[in-house]
Amino acid sequence: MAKLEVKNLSMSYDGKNKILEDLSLSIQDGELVSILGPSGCGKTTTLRIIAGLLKQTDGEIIVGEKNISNLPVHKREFGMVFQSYALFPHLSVFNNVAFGLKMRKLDKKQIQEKVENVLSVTGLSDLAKRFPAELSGGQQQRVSLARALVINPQVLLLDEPLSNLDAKLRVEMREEIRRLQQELKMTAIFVTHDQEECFAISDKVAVMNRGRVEQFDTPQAIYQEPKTLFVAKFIGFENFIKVVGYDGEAYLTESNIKLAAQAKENTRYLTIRPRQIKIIETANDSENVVKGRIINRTYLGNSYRYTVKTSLGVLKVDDFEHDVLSRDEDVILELAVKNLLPLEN
Amino acid sequence: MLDRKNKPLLIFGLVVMFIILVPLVLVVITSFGNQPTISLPIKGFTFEWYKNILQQPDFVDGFKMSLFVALIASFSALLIGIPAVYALTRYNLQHAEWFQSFFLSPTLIPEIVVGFALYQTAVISFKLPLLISLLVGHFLLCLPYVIRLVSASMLILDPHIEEAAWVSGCTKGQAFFLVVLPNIKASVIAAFMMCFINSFNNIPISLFLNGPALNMLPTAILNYLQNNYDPTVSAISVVLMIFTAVMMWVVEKFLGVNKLVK
Repeated sequence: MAKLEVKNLSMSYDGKNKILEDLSLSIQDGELVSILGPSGCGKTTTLRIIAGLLKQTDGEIIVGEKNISNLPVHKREFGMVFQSYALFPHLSVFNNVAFGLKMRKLDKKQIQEKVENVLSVTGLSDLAKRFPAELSGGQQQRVSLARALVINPQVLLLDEPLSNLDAKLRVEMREEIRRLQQELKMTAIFVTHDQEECFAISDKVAVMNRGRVEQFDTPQAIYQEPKTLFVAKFIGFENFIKVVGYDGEAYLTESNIKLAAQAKENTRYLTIRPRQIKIIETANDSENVVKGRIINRTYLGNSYRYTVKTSLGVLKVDDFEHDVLSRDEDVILELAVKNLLPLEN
Repeated sequence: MLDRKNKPLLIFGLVVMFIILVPLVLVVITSFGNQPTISLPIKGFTFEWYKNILQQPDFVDGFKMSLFVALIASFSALLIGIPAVYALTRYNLQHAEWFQSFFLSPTLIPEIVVGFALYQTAVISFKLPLLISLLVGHFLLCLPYVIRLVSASMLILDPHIEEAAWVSGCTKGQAFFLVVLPNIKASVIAAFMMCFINSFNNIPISLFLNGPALNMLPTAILNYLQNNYDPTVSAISVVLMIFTAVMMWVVEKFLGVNKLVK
């Protein structure tokens, strides 16, 4: 259990294509940080470099006060949970969990004690004598977690641990992981491509794209105030309005319309959630009002989703309040200043 | 498992078994016949031919030599083959398929050609001792079995298992012996059996590389058959069948292939 610092990590296999570029992360003692991103963004590579399974081209990894950048994997004192569980097929549950302790040459009594303890914490006591092939996916993942926790690792690394489980089990297991991590005050890194999963259990989230961290923040901050176009798209924003300038009061869009929003440097786009666009009866003098025509309508259960063609481009609008509107109807939309977020590229 | 209610399949299986087993049964029967040549039906019952095996120094020496060569060839094929397979399946080697086909190539070349080529190069050109050439020949015969069988089980073994072992504190060497080897044990044993049986029964390679003091059992049997057509040959065949079966049983019993293959 310790603070983990990743400084200016770079990774490249051939010197030209950078898989990671100048990546830095700082994880406090006892924090669970998720690395979120689409496949190929470098999140697993980052985790594998931290674990020591891959060697970085450049950069440093510091655990506590110790620089472990060049320490071989078997000396790093980490626990790791793999997507494929990676249990040792020839060993019983007990011996799978005991493996790391045996490598550390603990005496039999201590091993027995520690393994029994961690098996009971993870709810596996009854399965100690079974072999991996005799366990369900969820049970295997618990064993994998127990094996990682038993050595009381400096940092717990989780590489998409839930993606092989079915939906219900996934929710159960992520709560279990969070509970154990908090009980044991474990520093943990959780790699995933599922935003709901990572928002649910993380203290902080690093959203990655193309080998860089786009935003490193609390889940709330990322959800409410994405900083870049990529992050906004990734967490489900759908309306993006390109802007070309700022005149001190409002942004100027490509289509020469002025939109007021919070001033921020390097703003390239404005975004707003579909349910935050209001359909209003009459155009008032207030800011950020635009006319449009409905070109498509979809029923979403608790609301209607309208696709509206406006001079700002096509906007998606979710409406819960009004009567059902039909295609080709003209509407007036209000994009409230407080809901319109500026985004960097 | 075979569904016992599936009658057509059962019948088909029995027919195949019958075709395979009948010649063996006939050999067993002729080995007890008291006529001076191999013939059926037998007129009387005798152990004469089994006694005669021990009267033939070629058979006794050949057996020892074949056993020696088969063991050395099989073990050296495992020693070279397993690391080769590990490298081929675990490292992102350039031209990995090329190496793979290279290691498997001895199976493509007729054994008689391997024998002749070795005789030409190893014995005639490089003046290597016959025994060494013979061992090299049998090693080449064995290697493809190791590569094929062991790489099949390496490929289905999750590479993350090894990584999990490293993270748990194993060096790469420890991880190989503690985690990889126990999980590919079944294929290693199977490869050993295939190597041993093929080397022990091989004629084409041994034919070119035998000499005055180098007498292999299969070639000895072939030689004997050229001059005598008596049931001693049947008798030694039966002995070999029993020897192989017992060996399988012992390996099976003490290393437990079935225990691992679930």
